[in-house]
Amino acid sequence: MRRPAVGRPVSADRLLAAALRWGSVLCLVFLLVLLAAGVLVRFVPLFSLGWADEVVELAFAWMVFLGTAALWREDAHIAVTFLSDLLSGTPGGRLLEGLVTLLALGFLVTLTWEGWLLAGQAVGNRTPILEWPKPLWYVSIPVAGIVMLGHTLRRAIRLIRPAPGDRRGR
Amino acid sequence: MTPVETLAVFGVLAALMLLGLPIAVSMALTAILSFLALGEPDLLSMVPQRMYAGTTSFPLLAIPFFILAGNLMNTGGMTQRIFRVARCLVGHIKGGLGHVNVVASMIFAGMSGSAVADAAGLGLVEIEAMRKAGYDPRFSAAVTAASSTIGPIVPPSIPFVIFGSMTGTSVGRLFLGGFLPGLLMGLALMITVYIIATRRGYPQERRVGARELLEAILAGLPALGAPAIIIGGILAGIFTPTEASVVACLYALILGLLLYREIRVSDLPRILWETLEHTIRVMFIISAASLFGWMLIQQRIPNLVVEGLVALTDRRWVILLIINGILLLLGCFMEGIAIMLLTIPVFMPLIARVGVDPVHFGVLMTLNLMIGLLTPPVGMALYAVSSVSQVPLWPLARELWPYMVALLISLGIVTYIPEVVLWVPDLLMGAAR
Repeated sequence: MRRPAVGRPVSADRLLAAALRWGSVLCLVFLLVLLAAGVLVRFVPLFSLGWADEVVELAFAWMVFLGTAALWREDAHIAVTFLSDLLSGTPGGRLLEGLVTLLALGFLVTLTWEGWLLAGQAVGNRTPILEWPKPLWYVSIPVAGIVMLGHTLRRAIRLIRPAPGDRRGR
Repeated sequence: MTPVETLAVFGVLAALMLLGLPIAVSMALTAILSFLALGEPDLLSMVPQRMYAGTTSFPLLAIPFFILAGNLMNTGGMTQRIFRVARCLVGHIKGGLGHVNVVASMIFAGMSGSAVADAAGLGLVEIEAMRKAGYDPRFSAAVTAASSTIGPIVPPSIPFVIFGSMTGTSVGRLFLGGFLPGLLMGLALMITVYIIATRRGYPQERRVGARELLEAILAGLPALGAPAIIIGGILAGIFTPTEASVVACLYALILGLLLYREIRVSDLPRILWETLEHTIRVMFIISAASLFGWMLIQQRIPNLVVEGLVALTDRRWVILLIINGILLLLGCFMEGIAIMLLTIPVFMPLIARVGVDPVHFGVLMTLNLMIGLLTPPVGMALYAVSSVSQVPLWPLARELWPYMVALLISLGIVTYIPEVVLWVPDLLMGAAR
């Protein structure tokens, strides 16, 4: 895990990155413990885990969507980079980056807005056993969407108005 | 949808991917644009619904845990012990460490479901040992890359989990279906190593005595026990494939932390995050593919493709040849899981129409995609081994061609002799009807 270097100011951005990573990692560890307990209680029925399925889905959803946002910030999702590598450093490359950013924004706006509506539709619904509010599950989508939108908007702004030290506007 | 509109859908998808958008975004955006172009903006509500449902199905939870198990085994000293066992078993055959490389990958495959975990983890041990023994680095790298493709064919297997989850096919049957094809691939690669070693005059190691072999096996026994626990547990009905992946993690964790003492608690955050990096990349594509697949089915595109192909020919062997050709071609340009998710909605109705068993098809498809891991310009195993071995990509790709021939022959056998896949699951689980 990357950690802030000693003496460097910890920016909100770095805190957000750490929160996304650790949030995702904690969900994974939680799932590991819960599923292992599920196998164990089948043979040693010490306690009931009837509620586990509800929590497994919750942790799985948050793990995936927080992790997706964490990797989005690092441009680490799988992509075919043949054309962008070819045009890197040229005006065409900059144009391509602008187009890709715009298209990504289109996707993210749709995902975030529709995800928000989905969570809204679930208001009032509760899970059968734990009786937790169902929007807790779906709100993982707009939360991840907002983080990805923020990062992509920042990139778009830097493309238009490069910050000092941004040679190629990234 | 008309054939022209269908072509436009795939054209838009290809264009978006070529522009450099993440593959997952390309798939989701194609679906979004299709809904808008067809004048059905109400369907946009399916974007989060399908993406959520696509990622949260219980069987898919096996993906992070099989990746985690592979990472723990690589860090926890299990790979070195497996390598030593393989060295004692086959090091004396002409080609020496080349065969050891293949056999170690076959054993490792019994614990990990990922080719890249094999290429980058066990691969490091294999390449280092071959370098010390004076082997040509290109030969070492090529054998390592080729043998890593066995990982997801021999159970457990991440692609089988995804295929089973997406198509409703039994993951247990798929796991068993991979046994003989995995052995076949290993045998084909060993024959290739033997031929190359003979031509180039590569050395072989001394034959070890029974005592040394026994020592190696005893030292590696806990590591060798992992496949038995995973597969035995699934077959005995003790746990599901997803639970088996969790048990594999706990087993690797106990061995690495307590028995071999090669994993420190301080290593765990790094191992967990590396696991998540691999997992999330796959899961993001799965979630988008779930939306894309829904759009294809909603627009009846698979039916259109099936009707079109069946109008050309309804011979099973030709259809399978065409499918193999398409998968191998896509494998040159796309990541394997993405291809699987993209083509499942189109190919499944087709293979049902011509009477191919879904377990046979799942193994066949995965084998195609594993060969795709070795083909440039986009070959994940190729990149992983190139990075580990410091052998540049294109010389490595050139060195790989004899192994590609061996794997293609294996593919041909698996394609046209379904019993190679179906015999073991039918024997142990009864024929599926």
